[in-house]
Amino acid sequence: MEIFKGLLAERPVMAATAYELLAFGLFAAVTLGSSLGVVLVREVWHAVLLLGVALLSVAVHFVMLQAEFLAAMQVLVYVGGVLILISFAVMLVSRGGAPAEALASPSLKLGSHLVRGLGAVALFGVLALAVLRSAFAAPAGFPADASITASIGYALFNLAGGGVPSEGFLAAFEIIDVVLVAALVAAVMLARREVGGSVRGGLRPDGGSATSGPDPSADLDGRDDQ
Amino acid sequence: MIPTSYYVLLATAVFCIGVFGVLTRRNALMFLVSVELMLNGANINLVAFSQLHGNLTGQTFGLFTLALAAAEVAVGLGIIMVLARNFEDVDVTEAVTMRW
Amino acid sequence: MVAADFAAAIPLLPFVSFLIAMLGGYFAPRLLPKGGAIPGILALGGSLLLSLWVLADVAGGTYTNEELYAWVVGQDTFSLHFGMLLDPLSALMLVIVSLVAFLVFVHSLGYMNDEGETGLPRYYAGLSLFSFSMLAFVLADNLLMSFVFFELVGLCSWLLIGFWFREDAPASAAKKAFLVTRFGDYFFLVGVVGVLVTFGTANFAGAEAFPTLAEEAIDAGESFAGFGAQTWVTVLGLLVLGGVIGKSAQFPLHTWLPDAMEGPTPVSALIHAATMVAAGVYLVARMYGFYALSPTALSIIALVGGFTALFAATMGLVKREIKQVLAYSTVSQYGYIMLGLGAGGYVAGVFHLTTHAFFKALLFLGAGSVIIAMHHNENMWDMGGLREKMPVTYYTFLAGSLALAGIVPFAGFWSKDEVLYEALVHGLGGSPILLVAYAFGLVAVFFTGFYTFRMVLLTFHGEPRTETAEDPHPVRWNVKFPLVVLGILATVAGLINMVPVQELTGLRVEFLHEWLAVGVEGVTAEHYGTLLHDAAGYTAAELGSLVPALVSLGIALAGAGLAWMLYAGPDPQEHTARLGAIQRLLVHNYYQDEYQVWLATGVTLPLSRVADKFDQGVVDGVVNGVSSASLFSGRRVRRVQSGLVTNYALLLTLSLVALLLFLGLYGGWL
Repeated sequence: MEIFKGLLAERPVMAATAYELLAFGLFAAVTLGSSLGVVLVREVWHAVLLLGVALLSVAVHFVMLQAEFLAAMQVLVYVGGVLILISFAVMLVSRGGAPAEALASPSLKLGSHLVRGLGAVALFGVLALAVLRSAFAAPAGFPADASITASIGYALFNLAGGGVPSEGFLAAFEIIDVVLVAALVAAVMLARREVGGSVRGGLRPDGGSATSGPDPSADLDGRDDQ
Repeated sequence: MIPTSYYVLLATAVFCIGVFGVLTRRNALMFLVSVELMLNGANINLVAFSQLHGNLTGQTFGLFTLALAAAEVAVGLGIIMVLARNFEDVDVTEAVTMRW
Repeated sequence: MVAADFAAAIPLLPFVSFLIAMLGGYFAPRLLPKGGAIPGILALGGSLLLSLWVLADVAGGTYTNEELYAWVVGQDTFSLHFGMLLDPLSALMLVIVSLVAFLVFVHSLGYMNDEGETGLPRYYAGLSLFSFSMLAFVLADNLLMSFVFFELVGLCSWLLIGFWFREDAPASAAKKAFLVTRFGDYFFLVGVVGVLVTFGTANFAGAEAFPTLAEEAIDAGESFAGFGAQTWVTVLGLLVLGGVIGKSAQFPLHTWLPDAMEGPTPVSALIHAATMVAAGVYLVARMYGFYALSPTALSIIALVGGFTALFAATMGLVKREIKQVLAYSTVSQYGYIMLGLGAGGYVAGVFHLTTHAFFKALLFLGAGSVIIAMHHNENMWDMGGLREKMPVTYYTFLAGSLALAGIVPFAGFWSKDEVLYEALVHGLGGSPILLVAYAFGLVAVFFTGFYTFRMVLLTFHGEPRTETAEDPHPVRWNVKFPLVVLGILATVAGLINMVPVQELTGLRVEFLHEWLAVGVEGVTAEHYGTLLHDAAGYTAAELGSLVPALVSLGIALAGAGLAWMLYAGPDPQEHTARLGAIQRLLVHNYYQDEYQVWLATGVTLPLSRVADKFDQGVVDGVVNGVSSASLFSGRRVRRVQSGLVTNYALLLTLSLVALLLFLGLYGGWL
């Protein structure tokens, strides 16, 4: 913490109030703690839940950074979409029964895995060093009366009128639309299963009870691409 | 305002924790989750700098990053499905046939 | 329109027939009439007519010495070119070569085609290529071009000797011929390079010819590489002589010629009697202005020639096969030519070259006829009595033998006699070494007469000793026609230079001498005479040519008479067996073949093994080491591709860390 205080003392900035700093510190701790938990716990499901916590705390940080719209999107898309997706995947992949030993995280005892992690620690060290040695200007912030959400909207369509300056993102907007469609199609294609020439869906209607016989619900076979 | 360097450090930390997860976890799903952490770290960085400059480019771009992350999760999960099908397991240390 | 405009066609016509025979034989053998003989005969007929035209032109005084094509144009230095020199000597040689080649082609119809040989396109292609090379060699105007075609005739010799390559003996003989002549040609090449470097030109004739430059250098007292001019000229001359000795089968590089008899007899007639082996001595005659500057070189030539004449004649005494006798006879007679040239008898040497070409080709073609008749059995002890059954062959062969033995008035008498006369007078005139050579030559005359008539008597006289001899295979016009032509030439060719007759009667009959006396500046017999007197110190003693002529004639008749005594009659015995150990020595050719094989296996082979070890170990070792370093490191480095994704991620991370550290420290922001 001394480094942080030292930095504060150097520059005359619009000083953050103590409460702001406290809130930041708290939520930073939550973020960091849950992130560490994600990568260190044994059970996959626990890790996924902790990821949810991490993502929510990041949303809070966005709010503190005056990015309310982004925070809302973060919650909606990440927590509400991505996390659910990953939950489904966890369900599908784990065979019921044996608590997947092979899928566990490495225990924290010293092993070859720990060595790998040192790479990440080294990376953090270098990056932190770079950040700490550089001088940042005071954060400018956004004009108090401008509507950030509206400005984002105008920016997305290359229109003027937003109170806050921004670049135009029309091209990216269109492209991201294509990307999402492509991702949808790709996901469907990847999940296809072809057994004996006919196409089966990725979900097993019998909930995973292993029957290797022909599927009783024949109507799910749908289009016969022969 | 909270100095930007704090946020950058936070973002770096989250990112490196994500890298740690990528390097050490054997489950492919955990791999994907760690990648999500990395993306979030980058997002924090973007928004922090957006506040520093008073320009909305960072936030808008963070929006796009968000969308892309979602798309990437979808495709990644599809790949993990195929992996599970072919190798009977989602252990990345098992799927090592593309090697010398 | 002079003949010189078309003279380039003289060698090119056989080259065209070579292409026809080779390509036709490969792609369309059935279209090729007589296996390629007809194109060859037509081409050589054309060459012969053109050569006669050139001869007529040269007789009228038109000489040519021009450069045709510069294949390396030197910048601030000499150029390498092909050119043409048409003067009396080359015109004469052109006629000889094209005539003999033409007759050999006709004879081959009988020897090869009629006997049902296979692979004829290859044979005729080889003969045509040889004719091309030999004619181009004769035309050459510079030493390097001579070298090129010298080698090419050697190649054709290898191709043709090894015609029946599926058997061991011809293939081995071809290899031996090539290697032995190549050994001599190595020195020749060094000599050519030496001439080019010393004089900046290799031209034989003209104002800027190297013999002329050498003469001027000696007069001016210059020195090359620390040697006096005359010594250097000797050195270069001896280097070129290496190639001459190899190609003309003189001692010690004579061992290939008897083995070369493994080839078809027409090949032996063309290449190993009349033309290819003549290339060596022709070269000496061509650069005679160079050799005439150095008495040392001339003496060596004369000694080698004289010694070889005797040496080979002794070996010819005991041979059982007709072609072997003729082979040693060839070696011996070329010794005479060398003796003539070395003794200062330029005209004599050229004269004997001419007559020998005719009568030796005749003898070989006659032997070919006999061999066809005897169903390819060459052993003379299986023959006998062929005189009645093959009259044309017999009489022409007899004419050739009389010429070879040197019996008046056949051609060989006049030429051999002049050679010995020149050696005698120059020896008496102040170069005693030549007398030694003369003595060798004189003794060899006796042996020549002996083995020649032994050959004739065993082959044609007496009673037939086997069934094949009683009923020989008949030969057709294509064999007899060349024999008749050459038989006439062997009889009358001596008339072109009858020195004793001129001395006795004063008639102008030294036609060859007058023919060679003029020509392109610097390469005439007149000029050589001056050079021999001034530079080499050869003076001719005052001696009539009649007495030495009678002496050599007497010795030849004595030799022939001894052979008659021993081998005439219905049932000759093997008298040479009575010589005992000497006969064994002679039959084994003084063990020269074994000696040369020992040189190759005992001396050269270990040296080459050492060199090979160095090559394999050091040179190859370095290369292999480099590649094995690459292979080894590759084998190690590829283990990075472990297939494990987390490993790759680790590599990425560490690389990023390293990069950031480097950039940060370098850029100063870390």
